[in-house]
Amino acid sequence: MFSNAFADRELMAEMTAKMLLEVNAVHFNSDKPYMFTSGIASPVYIDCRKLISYPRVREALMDFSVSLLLRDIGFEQIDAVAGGETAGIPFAAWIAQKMGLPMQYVRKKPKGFGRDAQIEGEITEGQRVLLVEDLTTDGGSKIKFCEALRRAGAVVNHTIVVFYYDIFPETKTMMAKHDLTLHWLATWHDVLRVARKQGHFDANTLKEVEAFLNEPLEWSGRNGGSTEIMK
Amino acid sequence: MFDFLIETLTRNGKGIHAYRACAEQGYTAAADRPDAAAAMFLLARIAEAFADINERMPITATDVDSAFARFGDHVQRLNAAWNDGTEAARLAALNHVAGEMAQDAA
Repeated sequence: MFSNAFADRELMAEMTAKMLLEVNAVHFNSDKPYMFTSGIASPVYIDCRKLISYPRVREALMDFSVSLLLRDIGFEQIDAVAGGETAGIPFAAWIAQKMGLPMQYVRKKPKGFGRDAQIEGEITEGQRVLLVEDLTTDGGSKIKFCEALRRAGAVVNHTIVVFYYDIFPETKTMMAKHDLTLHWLATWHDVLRVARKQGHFDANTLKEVEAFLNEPLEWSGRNGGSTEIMK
Repeated sequence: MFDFLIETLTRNGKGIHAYRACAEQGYTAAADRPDAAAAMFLLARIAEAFADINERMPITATDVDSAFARFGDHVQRLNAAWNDGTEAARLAALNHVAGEMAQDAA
């Protein structure tokens, strides 16, 4: 079970950012921008899947996650934990283990027939399910996973990720429209703050990253990407 | 004949979402247009494969431009064959595109 420690939210964000930088999950490249799924060009890329290979890091992050969930949602408000295929599955398994809850995972596409065709594991009518993924950019995949769980009878009102981009205001609006509350450990702003403090990356790169975080669509347009979020 | 798929990619930002939309339209067109079903199906499959392979990966703007140019080449080849109107030209274009897909998948 989790350590029962309720660390300060800002400290958890800073520690998470430090861990992401330490395991080289964070990539900044303003010369050769990355392309988001939505067509937005970006100087930043994060690979949270790397975290599974670092037992001490993942243990700390999962403790953070559980303490955040208990504090923000409650101790008896979740009946099961579902991971989004594929990156969300290991994190969901660890959270379910720590909270002593059943687990499922949600496929990106249905396999077979019936209303449960996208779900692996048992799901019951009215079960309050927490959706887990590694990260959120524009929130699109959360909505799709959530809809699949709801079709199978689950009640899904909360989702948690290790990392939230926090650069598109539309993300939270869209989540709220779908009765979904997003919980997260760290954002790009936390990573940038820690990267500056610890001297990761050169000053020009960090300046460019900050320019992107402040005005992502403008930065994207200047660097060959889309100037609006495509769904 | 097939330009609407390029327009879909362009209109949707040429990212993964754009390729998903393109695949969906291609599959729908394959079902609706028996005269061009094989070509529509191949283009839809190319778009779907691009989205599946590159989703959540560190794909760069350069990679995206290169994939878009390649997709455009396939569309042009198939357009030319369908405009030519002969069965031989259409079959040759289909075989060419399918051959390239097989090489990519290998």
